[in-house]
Amino acid sequence: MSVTDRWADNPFFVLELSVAASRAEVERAGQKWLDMLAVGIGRAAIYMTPLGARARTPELVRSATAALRDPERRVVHELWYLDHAPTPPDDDDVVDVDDGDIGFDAMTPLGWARP
Amino acid sequence: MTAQLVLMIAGLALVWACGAANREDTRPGFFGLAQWLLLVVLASAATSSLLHGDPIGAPVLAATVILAFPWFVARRWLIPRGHWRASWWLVRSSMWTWHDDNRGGALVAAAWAAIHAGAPPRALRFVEARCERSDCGAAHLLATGLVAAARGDLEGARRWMTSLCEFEGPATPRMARRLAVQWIAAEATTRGAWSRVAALADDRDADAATILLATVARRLGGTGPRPSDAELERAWSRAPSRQRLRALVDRALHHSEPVDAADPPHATPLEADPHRCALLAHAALVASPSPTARGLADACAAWDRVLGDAGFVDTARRRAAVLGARVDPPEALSAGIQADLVTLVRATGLELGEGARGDGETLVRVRRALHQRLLDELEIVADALASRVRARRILAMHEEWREYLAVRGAFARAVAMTGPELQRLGYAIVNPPVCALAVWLWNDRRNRVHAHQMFRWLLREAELAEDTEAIALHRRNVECG
Repeated sequence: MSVTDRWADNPFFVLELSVAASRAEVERAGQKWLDMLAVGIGRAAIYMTPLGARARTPELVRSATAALRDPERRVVHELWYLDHAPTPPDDDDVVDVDDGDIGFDAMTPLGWARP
Repeated sequence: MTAQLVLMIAGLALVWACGAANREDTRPGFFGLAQWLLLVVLASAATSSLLHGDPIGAPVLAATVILAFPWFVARRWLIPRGHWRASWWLVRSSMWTWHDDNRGGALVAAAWAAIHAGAPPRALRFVEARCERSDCGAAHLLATGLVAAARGDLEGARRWMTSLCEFEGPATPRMARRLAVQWIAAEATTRGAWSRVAALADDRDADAATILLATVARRLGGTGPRPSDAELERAWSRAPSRQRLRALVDRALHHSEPVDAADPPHATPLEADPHRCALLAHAALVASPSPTARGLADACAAWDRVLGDAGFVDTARRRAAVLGARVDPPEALSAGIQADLVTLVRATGLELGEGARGDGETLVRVRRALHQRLLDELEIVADALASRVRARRILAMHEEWREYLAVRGAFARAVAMTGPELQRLGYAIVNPPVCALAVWLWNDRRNRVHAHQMFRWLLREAELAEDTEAIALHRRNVECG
């Protein structure tokens, strides 16, 4: 299981359920998201994870519901569930100290690039 | 008059041929002397013709001057105008600047001119086809790097240039190395990689342009002693194309000294629940664009607290029992943590370094798993090289060099990631195939320049790994030349 499976595709995030959700709640949530996606409700297309926003698709919802039906998989997903996870910063907020474009091309003045 | 013209043209052709035939490691060498002798004779004859009012004198004198200073003419006029074929042809006869490798020098000139011509595919193919011949000297690495840059592969270009800069000993073509150092400095400046630029200041082949860029890097990047305004101006006044670099120097002059900021406290999530705290630290680490070794150690420590918490373990096991799962939750959690962190370190090249006495269990397990994975990967790369050398499957020289660099790079990355602990084991894996390749190049393929560099690298690493047998062997190999 990769970090993507653990968090980005964690069924609890996909279905927006807490770890305490019962089997019936899982089934209801799965059906609810499938209906919303079928109708094309905008909010249904996105869900939040600790790695940022992800696109919700009917396949993902079906796979999440199936994962929570399986006790072996559910217990592992519960261990990786993080409620109210902080979203990672946007790429624009990241300041690259080294290896950042300085806005000056030193290659052209020295003849290493075409003027 | 016709006879005189034919004689002079034949003389010019002979001058070019003498330059092209030059394979001397020292200058001027036999062909160099012959070339200059012919140039003096031709220049005298042309001047004499000119003084007697003969119009043949002028073009012959001009051609003589061009053939006397081929690199200067190529670099000043032909390369900037993108005349790649003429640049190649002219520099091929260079016996002064490129006395040690004018085949490679000609390819450098062609590749450089091709960049100015907008990288026409024909020119790039021309350079690549010649780089594949095994009689190329080390300068072809610079030409290959320039072709990679022309194709937009800057990462590849950096690798080629850096490998040329690592050439040691008298076999290194000086001009090629000087140009490679300048290219690396200019490219790193454009990226703002100041520490890389500043490190080039003390390179033995750093020219005035490289020194200027390194001085600017020390000022803007705060690496090394901060240069004064006068030092910056002095470096600028010595650099070529200085007017076009003025904007960079002005920026450095106006750059104020950074205020020493205390090491920002690491954001450790304050949570009462150790499980949530560890999840937050883990999430912050894997989502970070530039994770640090300290962040990783903090996340590992947070997981140690969770896995060592009897209450958490008990609750998790009871929950698994309630759900009817046979999996052991702490074990599954531990395996997931280890897999994530090893993948993270591999993907980002994070340097974990050597283990310390106080390291927690999670960090120790991550380091051990990483160590094993790196050794396995190193073995795959080394085995591929060893089987090819055993089967005597010859590759073009620059491809041989690329394979050597791949093994070397994998070894260096592995050592950097887990510390010197891996040095000895890793060396035992890379030494046999690289040594076999170098011996093959030296004995059968007569490519001593590249083989010598490989022996030097093997010797250096053997000394670090304290492998006495390998030290003795490679010392003898290096002494062979």
